This record gives sequence, structure tokens and C-alpha cells, in this order.
Amino acid sequence: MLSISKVGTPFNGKIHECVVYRLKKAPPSLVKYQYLIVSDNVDEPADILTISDFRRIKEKLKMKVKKGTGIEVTIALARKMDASGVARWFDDIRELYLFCQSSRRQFILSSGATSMHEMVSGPCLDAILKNCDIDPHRHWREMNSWLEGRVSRKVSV
Amino acid sequence: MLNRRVKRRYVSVVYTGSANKAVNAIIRRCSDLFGSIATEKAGIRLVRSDSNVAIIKCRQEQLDNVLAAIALLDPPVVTRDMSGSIKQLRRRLA
Repeated sequence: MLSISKVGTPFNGKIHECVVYRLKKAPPSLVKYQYLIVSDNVDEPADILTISDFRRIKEKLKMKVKKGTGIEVTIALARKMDASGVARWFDDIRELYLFCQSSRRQFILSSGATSMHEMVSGPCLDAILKNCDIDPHRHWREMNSWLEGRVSRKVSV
Repeated sequence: MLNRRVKRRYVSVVYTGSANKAVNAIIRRCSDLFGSIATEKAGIRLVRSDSNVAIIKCRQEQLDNVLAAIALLDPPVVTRDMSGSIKQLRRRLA
């Protein structure tokens, strides 16, 4: 419906296809679903690191975040910002994307939705990427291969 | 000089509250982010609304700005589908 083929959500006990579950820590035993470890702490090892202020932690990212890690920015944060805040956010995204490209990390733009009403459709994500001078086709291609590679490394039954 | 027809896109959105308020919020956010001239050029209009789904139209050349404004709206409005013709969009929504 929203032109999105795969979504990431917190694990609620039910297993659905085309969903990659976002966990805070690795499950203790083998599981039947695809998952990624998500953290907002730069010092913790994770598959995806969610950041809120790129400018503030740029140097830390260079030093502490492993290559291949996904660095996630959420739209939910930008919703609350005024126009100048959004303009700065666009600029941060542009810079973060270039940083990820040059340092072999994966840039992730996510809705940060906590309910269905906050979800963002594929064309809207593309529009934001274009506004940040990022080619959406290239981004989704890279994102897809990163996701497949990352998820396939997880052992699942 | 060729008098070219303006291309439009019809976008269906899911909103909470009143449709007019949602469209005005989109216009305001678009104006804040991309300026009054771009927003006027976009020609954002409410075409129809039904329960909590509305169809809005805008000019194709400003579609990216309109979609970005919708994505960055608070309270959130969700884009469901879009099309170049209202007939096709209504068929898909049915």
C-alpha cells in the first residue's frame, strides 16, 4: 500500500513475512525470524545505530562505529522541527550520506513511526532523499544489498 | 508558442480531524519549507474527502516538495497512493 516491500518493526511475538524485527539485544537461542540489533548508543555494538544529532557525534562515529554498520536517521524527529530546523536536518542528512559513502557505512532513512498513522510511504521517502541531493534508486539498491547481507549473517531456523 | 497543458498528480492521503485542516496544514508546511512561490506553483487543492481519506491535487513539477512537506507534517498525514488521473486513483482506492 505504501510502496514499501520490507519494513522494520519491534518484535511483538508474531512472525510476519517481509518484516525485519528490530531488537535491542540478540536473542539467546535460534529464532525463525529476521532481525537486526538496533541501538542509539554509539559505544554499543549494533547493526543499526539510530542518531539524532549528526553534527554532535560525527567524530565519535568515525572512531567508534564499525564499518558496515547502518546509521539511521528518523523522520519522526524532523516532524517536530520548525523550517530552519528541517533545513539543518536536510543538510545533516546530505553530510551523513557522504560520510557513510566514504567510510563504508550504510545510511538509513527511516520513518521512526510508532503507529500506522506515522508511517511514511516510499514516494515520500524518495522526495526527502531528492531534496537532500541523494539519488533514490542508488540509495534503495545499496540499502537492499546491505540489508540482505546483514540479515543473512544472522542464524535463523 | 505552444500552450502546454499543466500536468497534475492526484495524491490520496489518510488524515485525522478535518480534511480542510489537513490540506491547510500541508500548504502551511510546504510554504514554511520551500517558500510561498513554490507553494503557489504547486497549486495544492483538496479534490474530495471521504471519512479519513482525502484526495488532493498538485502540479507534477512540485510533487517532490509536496510529498516532502506531507512526510514532515505534525500531526502526521500518511500518503496512500498517487496517480496522474483521479479516475485511476479512485479505482485503486476502491
